[in-house]
Amino acid sequence: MKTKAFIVCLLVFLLVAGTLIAGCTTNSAKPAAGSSTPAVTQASAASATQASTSPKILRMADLSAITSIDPASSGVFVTEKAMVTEPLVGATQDFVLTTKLATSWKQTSPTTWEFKLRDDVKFHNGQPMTANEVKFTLDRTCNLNAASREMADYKSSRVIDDHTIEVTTNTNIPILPAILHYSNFGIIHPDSLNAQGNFSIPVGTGPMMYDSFDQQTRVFTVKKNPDYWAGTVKLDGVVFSSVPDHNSRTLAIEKGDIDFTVDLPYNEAERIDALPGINVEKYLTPRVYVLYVNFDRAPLQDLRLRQALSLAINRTDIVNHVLYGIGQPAKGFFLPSMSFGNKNLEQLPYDPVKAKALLAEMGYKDTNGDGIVEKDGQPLTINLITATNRPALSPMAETIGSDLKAIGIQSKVEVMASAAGNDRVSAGTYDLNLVANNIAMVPDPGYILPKWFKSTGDTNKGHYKNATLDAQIDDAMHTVDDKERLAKWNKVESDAYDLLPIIPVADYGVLIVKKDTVQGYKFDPTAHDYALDYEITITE
Amino acid sequence: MHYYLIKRFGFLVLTIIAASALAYFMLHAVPGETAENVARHTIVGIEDDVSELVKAEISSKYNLNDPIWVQYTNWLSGLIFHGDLGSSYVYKDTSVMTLISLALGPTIILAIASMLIVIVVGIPLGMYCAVHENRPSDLIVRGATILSISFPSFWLALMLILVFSLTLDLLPVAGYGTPANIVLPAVALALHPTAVVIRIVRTSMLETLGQQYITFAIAKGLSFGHILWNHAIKNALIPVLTLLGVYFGNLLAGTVIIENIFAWPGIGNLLISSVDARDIPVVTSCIVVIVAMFLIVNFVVDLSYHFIDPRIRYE
Repeated sequence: MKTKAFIVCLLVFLLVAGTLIAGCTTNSAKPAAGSSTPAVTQASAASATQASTSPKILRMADLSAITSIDPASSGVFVTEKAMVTEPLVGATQDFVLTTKLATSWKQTSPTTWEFKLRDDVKFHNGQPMTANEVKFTLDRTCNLNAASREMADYKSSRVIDDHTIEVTTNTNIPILPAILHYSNFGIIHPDSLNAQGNFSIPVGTGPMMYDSFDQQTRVFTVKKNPDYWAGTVKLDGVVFSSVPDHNSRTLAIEKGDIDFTVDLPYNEAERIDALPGINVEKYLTPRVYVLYVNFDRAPLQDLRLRQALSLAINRTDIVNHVLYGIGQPAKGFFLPSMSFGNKNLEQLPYDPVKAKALLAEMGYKDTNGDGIVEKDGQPLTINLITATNRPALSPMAETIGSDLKAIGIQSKVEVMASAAGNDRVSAGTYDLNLVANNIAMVPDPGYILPKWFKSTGDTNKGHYKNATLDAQIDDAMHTVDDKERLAKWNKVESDAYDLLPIIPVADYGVLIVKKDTVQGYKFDPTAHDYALDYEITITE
Repeated sequence: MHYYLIKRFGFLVLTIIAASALAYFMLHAVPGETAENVARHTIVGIEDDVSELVKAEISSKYNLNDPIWVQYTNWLSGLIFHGDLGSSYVYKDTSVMTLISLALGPTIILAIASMLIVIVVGIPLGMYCAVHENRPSDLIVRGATILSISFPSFWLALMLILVFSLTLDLLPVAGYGTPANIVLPAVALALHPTAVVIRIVRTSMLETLGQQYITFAIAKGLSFGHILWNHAIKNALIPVLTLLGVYFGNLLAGTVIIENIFAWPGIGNLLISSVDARDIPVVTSCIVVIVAMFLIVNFVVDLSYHFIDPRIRYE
């Protein structure tokens, strides 16, 4: 504290002295930049830093700059956070699908679906929402966003009447309604495009409508939709800015420059929560910390080694000391709140003694007394890589490394930029890869399980092959009956939990930081980080 | 003089082309595939997996399958013949030219504000120290400069926020748009160069004051103030000018850390986010602009020597 005070005094001294001396010695500062004082006049979006008075304006600070306000590519922002657009299908807190802009849906043939639409929804330009705009949006999103098109396996859609639309897919996609819940499918009016057919502003149906977007500061403001179909919108508007530096964001909410933000440094959570007027809430998001296993490495093909690795990891300690309690030890591959997860799965045990026994059973023994087990004179080495893109990955990898060391495995932990990590994975030069993977971009087990465990899965970069599991997954993917399909997915999940092609570590936590004046906020676990809805408000 | 100008200008163009080529090719040498990175920063999440189909579509959209030198030549010919820097892979709604012109303003404003602090505080304080050599006030200022040089700017920035925003509640923490927003980043950026300038001015001034022509002027009976302002300062400022040029160039190149801390929408912020997303046209164009500004500032500084000291001529 003394040092701080000293520095402050020095700073003040430097400034004051400088100004004084400059004032006494006339004409001393003529050279260079003779262009007068900096004229920072960037009127409009400045409201981001002004205190809100009578209108109820919520000031948000996001982590990354808003690069686009087109829901086809930035649906997470435009649909979930800014509330400008809405998808056809909603989801509850337990990841169960509900109606949104569509009132019902049914699969009319293996590749066609019929969606009935609400007839009381108006776009922000006053036009009623019909099947034409839905078709326009689905065509456009799938045309512009290859990832969305691939996920839905979208072929085309057909307007049956004003409030009925038929969607055709190339193959049988039983989870199409869940896919249409994805934020990139937020419905827009063709007025969102300019005369040249390029996107200009999002004209949606949500509780908030476009107000302004400053290309320079990337500050996006939305205002209340007075005609919202689902109820009365309580806020008058929201200002979205971005403060990428974690410390600055912390200080900004501490000072009161913003009302709501997420993901402060984990070690700051308790201190900020204790401050008057600010509260910090911890939630789980659909993301898990998992270890990808490289099956091209011979020893890892042995289930006993994978079990030993899992037994060596102290998940409870990791959650308490690395994540500061933000998150929880994994129980299965899904979050406890997800209705479709297998509820019979327990947290994987921590048992270093049993882990050592498994290694011994495989023939690994510490013959030279260096604490590392060997087989045929070769020490057992595990190369664990992870990326820097999420704050907890690096300390978590270090902790797992020392857990492995404790059972006699020589661990080599490497932390790198995610692009470099991808290259290592492609080249196959790693044993374990610690990542925080999204598990429910689409609220259905059919989203992640095939990606992870099918031998041809997108995310199966460790080349795990299991014909039985492949057949089970194919069967589940194409089962039309919801209950039957769910039972099949639960079986896939529990079998994979026993086989450990991927070793789960912990569920991902998010910090929601808001002022006490922010009322009516409900955490939406299906969102990425956070989502807002029309009932959130701010009091004086 | 004309020959000198032409030579310098040619050198400037060559340097820009070389820098852009270097940036372009080095970005491709960095681990990770461009199409994959672009997809992760646009249509799928940062750590989500990008399918071959998505990669193929992005690659064909931006001609990423062409050999790198073809891509580079296309970009360069666009710049030379059409003055077009291409369009961004990530900021889909804007051309690179627009992005850069939007980012350049805040960077220039911040650079000028910091430079003003450096000049207005650094030069007079340096002179003051030289005139009061080894007196307590000189020692205090020199001590302060050591501290200012030793602390990293990001730490100083956070301390400034802590004191002036949080404790004293005078200024906003971060953001852009009001005059109050510029104070903290400008001071945070200025502290280090100011300290260096103080020390250089002091040393240079002391050296000048020890010259025979100063002794002669004193002997002639001129007032000390007159000697200082009309004889000493011009000679003492030459090394300072070089230093100021380098610092100003640096400031114009954008200051990634400070811009990030204060959420300042400058070119440093644009560059760093574009490097992350492998937005090659934006990164290369940013580097071209930064190199150009750095060279121009240095060129102007070189020319200004002549005005301060007419004995310096350019052949």
